[in-house]
Amino acid sequence: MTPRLSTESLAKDFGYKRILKDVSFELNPGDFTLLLGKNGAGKSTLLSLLSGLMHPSGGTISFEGELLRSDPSRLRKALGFIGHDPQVYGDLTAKENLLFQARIRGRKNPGAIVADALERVGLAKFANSQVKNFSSGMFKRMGIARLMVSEPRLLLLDEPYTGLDYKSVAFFNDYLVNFTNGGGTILMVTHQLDCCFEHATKIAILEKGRIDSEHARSEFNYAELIDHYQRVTE
Amino acid sequence: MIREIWTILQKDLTLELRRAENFIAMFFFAFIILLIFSFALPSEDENHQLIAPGVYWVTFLLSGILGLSKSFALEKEMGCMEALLISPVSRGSIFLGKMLGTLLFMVLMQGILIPVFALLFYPPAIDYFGPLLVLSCATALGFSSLGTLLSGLTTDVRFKEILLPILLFPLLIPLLLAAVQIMAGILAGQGIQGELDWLKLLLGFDFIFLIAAYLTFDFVMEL
Repeated sequence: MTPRLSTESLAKDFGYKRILKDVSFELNPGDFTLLLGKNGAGKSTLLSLLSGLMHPSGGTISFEGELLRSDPSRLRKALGFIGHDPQVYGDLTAKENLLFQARIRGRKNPGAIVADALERVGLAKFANSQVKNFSSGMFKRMGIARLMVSEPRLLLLDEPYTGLDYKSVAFFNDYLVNFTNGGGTILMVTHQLDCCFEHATKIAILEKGRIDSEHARSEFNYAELIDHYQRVTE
Repeated sequence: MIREIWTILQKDLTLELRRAENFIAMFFFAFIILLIFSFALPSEDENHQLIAPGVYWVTFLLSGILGLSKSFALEKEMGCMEALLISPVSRGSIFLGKMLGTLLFMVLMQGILIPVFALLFYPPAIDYFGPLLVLSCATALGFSSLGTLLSGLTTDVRFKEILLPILLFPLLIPLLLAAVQIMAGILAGQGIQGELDWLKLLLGFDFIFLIAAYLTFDFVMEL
């Protein structure tokens, strides 16, 4: 099976400092991989490289068997991304923000898609409100709606649970499980392991610029994973 | 591609209309500059017609830079630039969408500025409103093309408000020289084609920097 996303000896320098060195891994369709690591380990940098926002200093990234640098548009069409920022225009309404996303992705019938996404994330009654007045939890739900509108095959998620209440976490996890059951691939950076541990299929730990350990999630229960993580990152 | 450009342009226009303070600030700044010139250079001066084009284009330049620096600031506010860059839209479409947004606002600004310029500084200018607006459109095209490229380049740089004019103004010298000369011809009653060589220079500048900026925007955004 061709991996959805793979890296080979990936490296990234900032000035003279090497943040990532020799990162090699594969993400396959149906994988839900949790990427763990200490603050400053390079997790967000890795996501930026994989999304094409940054160029690697060394090594290669392949998307569905083709090098990313040869045709980045293939990845962009398939990519959904939640980063640290809400990635919405504060002066546009929730509906306008999602319509913009749907249109630049060339979605057919964007009005219906956006209305459905807003309904599913529970923001339908705020559809015509400017998002600058939203709470952080509502921003996250806008992010989930953005993913729904984008119809991605690969999700790169950087701390997606921050600011979500219990009900929203459950809703988001349902979305992620359905996404991977449908053949989608997820790479998630999170420190809130309790939110998603049971749904993940793989665990990778980034330490000292390398993927230090990579395991099937079924190898651990939650307490064992915490114990393993602490040993690796000591 | 046209759909992508239109989507970005439509979004930028909606944002600019909702944030009218940017346009108002540009207009108010231009008004103040013209007011200062009108006091500093007495209207009975026989050289007033010769000075008028210089005054007009200095006003254009200084007020235009205000609008330009805001173009990418909107994208940076909540990480929207990231979302735009990882979307399947080509960098060329992003450039054209943002450049057209800046161009439209610059032309709108000039449409208001010409009567104000006539009122405060050089009354006969109102008789040449049409040719002056056409000249403003052609000049604003070169300004927006180069300005959008450099604005994108300096988005993530510290002191970008200072760096943008330092990079932009010297490169705009040929465009402004041509605009000043053509405007002098218009005010002398020769029409927009009165200074044909300068007109060719201006259109050449527009063409070269539109194409160059379109082709290099991808590289600039990767920096």
